[in-house]
Formats: sequence, structure tokens, C-alpha cells
Amino acid sequence: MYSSIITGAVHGIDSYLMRVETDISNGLPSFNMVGFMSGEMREAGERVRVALKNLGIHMPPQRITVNLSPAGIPKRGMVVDLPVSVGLLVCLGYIPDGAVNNVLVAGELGLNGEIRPVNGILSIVMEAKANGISTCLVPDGNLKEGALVHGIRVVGVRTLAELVNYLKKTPKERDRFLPPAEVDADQLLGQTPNKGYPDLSQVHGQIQAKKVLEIAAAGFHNVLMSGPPGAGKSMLARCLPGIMPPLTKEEALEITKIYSAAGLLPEDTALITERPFLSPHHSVTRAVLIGGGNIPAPGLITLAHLGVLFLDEISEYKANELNSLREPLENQEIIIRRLTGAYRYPARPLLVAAANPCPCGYYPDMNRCTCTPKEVLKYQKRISGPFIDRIDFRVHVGRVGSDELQGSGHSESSETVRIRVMEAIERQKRRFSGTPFHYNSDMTPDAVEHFCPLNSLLTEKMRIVYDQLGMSVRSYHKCLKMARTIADLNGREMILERDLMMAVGFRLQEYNEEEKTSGREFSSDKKIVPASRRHSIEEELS
Amino acid sequence: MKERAINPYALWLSSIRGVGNHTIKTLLETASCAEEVYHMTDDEINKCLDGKLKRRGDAAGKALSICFAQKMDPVEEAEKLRQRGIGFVSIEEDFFPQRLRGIPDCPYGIYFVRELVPDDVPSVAIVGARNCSSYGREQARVFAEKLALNGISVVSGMARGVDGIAGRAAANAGGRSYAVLGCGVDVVYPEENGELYDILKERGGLISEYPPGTKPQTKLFPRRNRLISGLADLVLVIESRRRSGTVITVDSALEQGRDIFALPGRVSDALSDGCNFLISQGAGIACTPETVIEHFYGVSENGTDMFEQKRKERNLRREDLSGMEKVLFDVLGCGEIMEPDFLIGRMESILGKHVDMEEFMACMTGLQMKGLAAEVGSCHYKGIG
Repeated sequence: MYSSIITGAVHGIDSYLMRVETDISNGLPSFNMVGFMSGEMREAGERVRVALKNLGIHMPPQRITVNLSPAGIPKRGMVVDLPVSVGLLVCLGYIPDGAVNNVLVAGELGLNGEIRPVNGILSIVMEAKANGISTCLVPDGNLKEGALVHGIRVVGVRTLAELVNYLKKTPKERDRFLPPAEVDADQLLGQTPNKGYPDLSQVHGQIQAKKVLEIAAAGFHNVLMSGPPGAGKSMLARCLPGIMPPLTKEEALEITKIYSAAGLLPEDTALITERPFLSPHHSVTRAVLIGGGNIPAPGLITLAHLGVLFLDEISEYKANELNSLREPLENQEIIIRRLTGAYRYPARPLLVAAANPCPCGYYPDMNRCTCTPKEVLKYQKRISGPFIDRIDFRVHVGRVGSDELQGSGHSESSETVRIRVMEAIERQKRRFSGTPFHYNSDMTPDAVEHFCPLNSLLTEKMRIVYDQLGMSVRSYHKCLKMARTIADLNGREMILERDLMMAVGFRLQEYNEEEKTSGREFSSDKKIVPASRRHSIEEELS
Repeated sequence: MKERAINPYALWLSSIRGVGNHTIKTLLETASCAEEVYHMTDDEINKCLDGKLKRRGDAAGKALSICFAQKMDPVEEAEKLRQRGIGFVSIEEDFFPQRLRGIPDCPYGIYFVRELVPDDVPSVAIVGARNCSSYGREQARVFAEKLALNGISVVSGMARGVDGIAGRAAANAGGRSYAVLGCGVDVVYPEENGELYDILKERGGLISEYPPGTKPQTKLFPRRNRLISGLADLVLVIESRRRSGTVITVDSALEQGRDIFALPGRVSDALSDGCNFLISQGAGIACTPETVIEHFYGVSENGTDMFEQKRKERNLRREDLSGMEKVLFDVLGCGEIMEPDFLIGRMESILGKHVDMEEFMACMTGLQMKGLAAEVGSCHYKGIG
């Protein structure tokens, strides 16, 4: 007596199809599960035995073996409860043999036979469709996310009894018994409720910071905001999702897939329709930030994919944690390797960081700042240079004047800004059709040369800037990408001088040696005092 | 400067631990020179010192350390010092800085690297806050540069902030730049001024009254300040709070009869409090470097109105700018740090029309690339010129 049931398992955010093979043969009564599985998955046997008993079916006193194939991949989760029980029922003859052909079954089982939701149904159903499976039987609680996939029959089941009844029926009767569900993603995205983000018009003043956020939203550029405490850095960051364009269907599906695989999709939610906004505490560990664990779970950088990752008080983060973000920010994905394989997670958040400029927070206002130049320098050095290099815009969020605070002054709403942003994105979409890029900041160096043409005058200007500042090539390309977005926002295909100069203006600071080193007005190559000279006298005495 | 032989006995006397200026002076009231002290016996020294020191009973201890030190070979020590490129001069020598001879509590000997402040050239001490503002930094540089170019020696303390900036600017302008240290001349302090230390070693001079190897100690710095003012004809205060090390320098300068000039600042700036107070007390007002230069060389012919000349220079630089840049240049003024929102508001009220962030940033970048403005901190700007 042998049966084989198809189910799926999550690997990273993608899934693979798995076979649950069940065999009942004579021998000492036992229930063995094999196939490289974790503890909670192995417990499926006990759950299945009790659930079947409560259904009135007793396990035969025989040798039962369940194998999960492919057996080489480590597996975890409760997804095999249901396929194991279906496999047994097929072996025992309660379900006809042919009823499970081309059917995928997934779900967790309660002792009373109730079927409970599991992680990663969306990507499992996607994989099933790609492999030509005709029917997916999923827990009712996961039905909506599974139903996002069209062209495959997705059916939600509530109890084991219901599932058995379903499989006993002929294909024609089945659809009448439990009709397959379909959810329209576009329709869900169309009904955009108010997300509860603060509106940009609630932020007083801060013209420059607002403009920078607009550009950042339009081209997916990373931003570092610095300023005194209480000036509105966090508030501005929270406004950002409200001015970013609404999610496209592909983006929403990708985010939903991540959240579904991580088990973070709220029950009865079909689709994540808003851009994620994550703001971890600065004590966060590296594993939480980029993903980790024996079988790696996605990190915050993945959970904020296509949304906003807001790192407040960035100077308080440990250097290790920040540095671990460097490669993912560059590659837009993170690959976590374990002995048993590599797990790939997409990681394309819009990074917004906020910091105080010095320990007391008021530098460069020398009337209020009480820090010594050394302290300021030390504080600013806490954020590693290579990390800063990956930031496009560095903007100051200063103290708001009283007239700005109390005056009713014209302030644009998030919706107005968003319309401009969407136009700029539309422009990028047209430009990048047929290329792997989505946003201006995605461009590779050769793409920059192709998509950011400069006329001879601007080329000359940029040459002077490059030489005069001793810019890095990365910075040079960043300038062009930023200028590209600024031009897009202004509705221009041609990059003008003002676009380019604005972009350059935001990158001048890193070349501003004077401020970074305070007392060291004239910089030269030699900067470190040889250790030998510091205490030469000691050596001579000894 | 040609190398002069070190008086080994003077060096020996001044390098004895526990024997300071006061003791040496007392000894030399009896003995005629350091060499004589070297050959004195314990009893003789005791007799010289007895009853003349601040605390009774000190004499025996001092005599003991002096006798103990007699075991050293002064000539050998002097040779060691010479090999390390460190010079020493005592008050007994005729090339001891004349300016120092007159001051109260004049050191018996001073150590130096390369050269001493020449007596026949006017000398200005530039001092100020360590934690100075952008304005102070800028002015320290401008003053030091101009003074150095006019052949005036610049003396400073190689501290963080104003001192270091002035010393460096003077040396880089090719002028005479000297630093008086509060530690041994072979010790780099503060560390970030290591580069300046190297420059002064090559092209300027390092001076200290403490033996080589003395580590920086808080108690040494206020005493060092009297040498800074002592080695100068005039003390220029760039930026100072009401209570600070700079005030100590000014006090000793007054005691030594040096002229004081102060750079005026805004009354609301805590960092200019000290300067403004000095001015109210009658210090010279250093509006331009020329004011200080004229103090030494008399009024120059073409420099009658320095402000006029400054304005002309500014207008000349303004000529090359685009229309919008001109407005921003005027709004920025000079020295004061401003935020972009404020600047845009001012530009809008002058132009009477809306100014885009792009336009503003483009102008700002233009000015920065031309060296007429600079970014301070992140996205704060100041005018230069």
C-alpha cells in the first residue's frame, strides 16, 4: 500500500514542490518520518494520528513510513500535516487512488481535524501553477492569498472531513461542493484606503528636506537626514510612503510573497497593498537586519523590500550591523549561504537614515552646541564611510522658525507631491522598458552613460567638478543618476545644468575637508602621527 | 640659522627634576653661572638655598637632587640633545630671546627645534578658542596669512582651533610661524596637529620651557601661555569666551606690557564675548589684518581705507556671477552660517518671485565651486570673502 501526494515547501521566498510518500507494510507497528525535517515537522505524525482518530479512523497496527522528497533539503513548518494525513487515507482506501492526481495539498492540522493556515501559500501556489498542477487544496485561512494566482483551481478547506468529502467527489461535483476562489489583485490595489501615514502638509517648513524626499521617492534614492533633536526627522521619514507611488501588481505580489513566506501576512489578507515602513530599534542585531537562522528567515531589509527602511539614530547602530547592509544595498538582494544551500531574498528598500550631527545635537550652531570639535568628529565618524558613500542625499533638517511653525503658509499635501512623483516614475518606466531597471538609482554605470546624456557644456562642467573635488567614480555616477531623477520630476528628458548642479550640491559635503576635520584646515596626505614620535622619550629611557 | 653650541651646564641645571625657575634663580644669586653650581658641594648648595625658598626644609631636598644630578655628564647630555635636533638656550646666553628677558617669571632656559623667534622682526601672537566657530576659523586663517606675508612672525600654541589654524596658515603662506608648547618639544600634542608639528619642524619653530619628553599636563598649559605673549610684541585674540585659557594669555600679556588686539564679533555670540569685552576695555580693534600690520609699519599709502578695498574686491568677484548667483551671494554675506530655507526666503523677497529648490541648489553649487561659499555641517552654508 503506497501513495504519493504533492505538496510544496518554502525555500527563501520561493517554493519547490515536495512529494509526501506514504507506505504501509507489515512489521512491528511504528510510524516513521524521514526526509531531513525539523522537530516541529516531525511532530506531524502525532497530530495526524489523533486527528484521524477523532475522525473515526484508527491507524492500523502496521509499519508506516513517510518520506519527504527531495530528501536533501532541510525542511521546517507545519505544511506537511495535511498531505501526510491524505497520504495515509489514500493508503487505507478512504480516498480513491486517482482522486489526488495533479492535486497539491498543504496545511496544518489541529487535533480535532481542523485545518489551520501555514506560511508561504502564495509562493507554493505560484510554483504549483508553473508545474502544471490543476488543483491546490489550501487552508481556508490562506485561501485569499492563494487565490491571487489565476489559471489554477485554488480551494480552501476548513476541516479534514471536508477535505475527504471533497476528494471523494467527481471533478464535476467538486466545484459545486467547494467552488474555487479567485481574487483580483488590481481591484484590491484600486481601493487604496488612507494608510494612516502623516501627510507632508503637516510638516512645517523644511522646504529642502521635503524636496529631497520627493526626489528620493521618485528615483528610489537613499537619504540621510541630520539635524537637532525634535526638528521632525522621524516625522518626515514617516511621510515618505505617502508620497511614494502606489504599488504595482507585480510589486504587491512580490511583497506579499515575502510576507507570506515569513508568516507575517495577517490572516484573511489577500494582498499587501501598502509599501512597508519599518523602523527598527538601533540595538537590532545583524541576523534580524539582513536575515538569519539555521534555515534563514528574511531580515528587515527584505521585509522592507520596495518600501522604506528607516534607521533612526543611525550613529547609535553598531558598525558591524551597518556594514552588513553594504552589499545588499548595492546588489538589491541578499544571499544567505548555509551548508545545505543558499537562500536568496530580494532586498530593495528605500533607506532613510536619521542622525544628530553631534552628541548634543546642535552643531554647527556654535551658540548652542557644547561639543568640542573632537567630539563632533568622533560622533560623525561613527557612521562608517563606505556606508555613507551609499547614501545619495544628505540633508539637514533644521529647527523650524516660529513663523513657519505657527503660520498657515502654503504647504503641499502628500497627494500633490505624489502626482509629480508618479509622473516621474512613468517617465522612467518608458525609458527603462526592455531593461532590467525600474528606477533611476538601479542604473549600472554603462546604463548611466546611455540614459543620462550630457551636452558638451555640461560634460565640461562635470569634468571640472570631478577633478576639482577629486570625486570617486561611484559619486560621479550617483550625481548623474540623481540629476536624472531631478530632470524626470521636472518633466524633462534632457538633463539641464540646474538639475546637475543641484545633484552635485548634495554631494559636496563629503569633499568638504574643513568641516569634517575642524582644526585641520589644510589637508594633506600625511595625517597620522607616527607612533614612534608620540612617546619617543620612553624608548630612549628604556 | 647657524647652530649655536649648547651651554652644557645650563642645560644640566634646567633639566634637574624638582628644580625649577625659582630655585635656579636663588642659586644664581650666589653662584655666578651654572657651571659653578655643578661644582658646588651639598653643604654649599644648602647654604645658598636655606631660608630663601617658599617652604622651609625644601632646601635640603633640592640640594640632594642637585648633588645626585652631578653624577650626570653635562657635555654628553648636551651632545645627545644636539643629535636629536633639539636646541637649548639659557638666560646666560646672549641669544636668549630679548623679549623674554623682561617678563616676570622668565624661564631660565628654553628648548627649541629649528629656531627661536627672531628679536629683530615684529612678532604677533594669535590666540583664541579651541572650540572655535566657522567665523573664527576663517579669520584666524586670513589674519595669520596676511601677517606672515608681511614679514611678521606668528606665535601660537599649536592647540586645537584658532592656534593651530593660525600657525598652519602662517607656515603655509611661507612666513615665520612658531609654536610654544605645553609639553616637551619632541611630544606631539594634540595628536591631530601632528601634521602642523611636522611643518613647523621643517619650516617654523617649536619652543618649550619643559625638558624634552615632558608629557602634556593641564597644569603646564597656563604657564605656557605667558611665553606665547612674552615672545610676541602684540597679542591678537581671534575668538574667546569670557573665561578661558585665552584670557590667561591676555592677562599675562598685560602684565608683560604687550599690546592687545581683538577681533570683534557679534554681541550675541558666546564665542565672541571675550573679544568684545577686551575691546570695551580698550583693546585694539582688529577689523582687518592691515590694522595690525599698520600698528608695526605705520599707515600704508594705498591702504587708507581697508573696508573700501575689501568691498572692491568683493564686487570684482561678484562680476563673474550669473544673475541668480549674485542675489544669493548678496544674501549669504560673509561668515554667518545660514540654512537653505532661510536663504530661499530672502532670495524670494528680493526677487519677488518663487525660487525653486533646484535653482537654489544650482546657484549654491556654483558659488561653492567658485570658492565663494562653503557648506558647514550638512546643508548649512556660509559666504567666503
